[in-house]
Amino acid sequence: MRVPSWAGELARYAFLSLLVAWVLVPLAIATIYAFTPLEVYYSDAILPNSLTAEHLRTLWVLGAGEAFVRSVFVGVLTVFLSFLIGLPGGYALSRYVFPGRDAIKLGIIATRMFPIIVISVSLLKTFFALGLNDTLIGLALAHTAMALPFVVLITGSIFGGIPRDVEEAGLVFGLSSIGVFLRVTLPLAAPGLAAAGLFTFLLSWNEVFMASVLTLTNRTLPAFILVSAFATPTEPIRFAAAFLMILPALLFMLFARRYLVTMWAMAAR
Amino acid sequence: MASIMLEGIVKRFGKTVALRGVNLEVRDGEAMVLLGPSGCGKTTTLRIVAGLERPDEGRVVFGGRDVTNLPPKDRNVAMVFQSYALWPHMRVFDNIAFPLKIRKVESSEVRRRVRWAAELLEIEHLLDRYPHQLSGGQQQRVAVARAIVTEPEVLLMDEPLSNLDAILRVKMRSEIKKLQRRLGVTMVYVTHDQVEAMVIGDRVAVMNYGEVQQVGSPQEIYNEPANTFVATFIGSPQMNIVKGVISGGLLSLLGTQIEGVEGVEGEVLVGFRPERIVIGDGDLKFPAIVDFVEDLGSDVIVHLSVEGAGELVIAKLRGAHASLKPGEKVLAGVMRSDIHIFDPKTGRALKHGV
Repeated sequence: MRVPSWAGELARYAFLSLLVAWVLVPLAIATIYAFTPLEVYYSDAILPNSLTAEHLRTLWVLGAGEAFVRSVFVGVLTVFLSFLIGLPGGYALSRYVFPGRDAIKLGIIATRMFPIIVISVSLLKTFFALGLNDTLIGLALAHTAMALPFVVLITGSIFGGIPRDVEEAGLVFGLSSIGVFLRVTLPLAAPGLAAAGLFTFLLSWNEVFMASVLTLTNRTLPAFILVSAFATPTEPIRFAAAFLMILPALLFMLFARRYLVTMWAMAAR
Repeated sequence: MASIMLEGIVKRFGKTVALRGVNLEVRDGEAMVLLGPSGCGKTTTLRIVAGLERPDEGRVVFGGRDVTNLPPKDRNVAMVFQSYALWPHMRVFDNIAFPLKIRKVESSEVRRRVRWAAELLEIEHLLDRYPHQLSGGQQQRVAVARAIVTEPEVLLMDEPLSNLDAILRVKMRSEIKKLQRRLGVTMVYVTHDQVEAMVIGDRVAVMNYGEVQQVGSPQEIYNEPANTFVATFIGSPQMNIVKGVISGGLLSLLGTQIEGVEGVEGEVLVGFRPERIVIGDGDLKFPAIVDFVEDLGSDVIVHLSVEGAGELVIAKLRGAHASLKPGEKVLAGVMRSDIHIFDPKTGRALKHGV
């Protein structure tokens, strides 16, 4: 018996629809209920007939605004620091063959074996000694440590995707090694690096364990939400908090989708 | 313009020795071709001249100036890469102009020079395009334009034609030769294609096993190969090499003999080129049986087995001999002047013409 061709297509689209729904339905629920008035939410209605920003305002009053700004600050600082340290490392790993190169690569991956929560506790002790406890710089340093392996490996792969002889042409035609890096390598790597940067920002943005352990009054958004919003019994407020958390990631995906594909493609070459 | 001297260049990569003492002089304004099979060290030699690799031993001298430890940018060289290595984020104009901009040449002069180079390579209409919008041949022209725009002392080419199709390759190799003559620039050109080497080189350096085997004009290399490697590497089909013995001026080979071979005694290797074999004529004649015939139209490649001697000889004959049939008996011959004698142990040439 032959299966008609439309049946295959139907099955394919049914599966894809399921997959998309699996991602989109929770997002939609969180977004809709974040703006649903309390009386509607606790009634029998499934969808609201009016929207309200009241829950976001409540979060704001509780301190979500400051937490948001802190998260952005920590995220930006994390990207800056991890690229400052990780970019040269990635370049060296991709371009130079030296003794112990593979061991170093393995070591970098191995650092990810330790659960972040374990590191956070011991870090707190150190941070007390250094006076970095409950500071955003301290948290950014911790996030840098967390993001560094990713930055080294992904930038290494991106640089590895740029042909060596394009750089050598730069050397032959009059540039120094640094000149080649700035005027040939970096422009070619820029799209991939931009995506890696945004990705690193999100790593920091989403990180909640270290943020909760290392800070008390200076909490970033996820840590703030964990202790305040999720402690409230009012569910729409939790949805509003979730919406606040998802928003930057969604915007990022929307704008950087093309670059993300480029980044992974460059890294996979 | 400058001459180039390589003195005792040794280069190792880990445990592999890529170059074992290369000595080479490239004269001012000369086109020198480095020719050899892959892995012979020709590209490494070129990269050492460019400054992209540092030699472990030896010196690189440009016109009396020791540049061994100078980075490429301080050598005033230009290079055409095998992959062209155009900068993908720049338009053709900027690719050609970039070496000038690095040297802080004034912008009106940059435009003038880019026009000049683009006209010479016939790529004026491509200046606004990006490299990925060009065909292989066009990219190649851009790479050459970029290399000549700064009027370098030394122009280096690393198998620049190997990625082109056959027709374009033949066209470009004569164009590159004319361009080099016209500019009078000292050129080092790397290739594994012997025809390309013969067309482009004023002189050719044949390399193998990280050493220069012979340096000479294309004629010298063809007519007076320094050893069996050069003899068999140059020419197609490759030179026939058979065993022979000389005693008292009498050379015995292929079941026949020839008198008056002076100056060498004992076992030798005897070489003669397939295209120098004639049927039914020659100073040295040997009977043979036709094994196999490859008809190329203009020429015929005939495989001959020599009776009694157990040797196989390849002959390249005029197309008129296409009627030869396998199994047919012929009398093949070679002129005295076309016979080369080599030392059987070292492979070194002892005599050209007997």
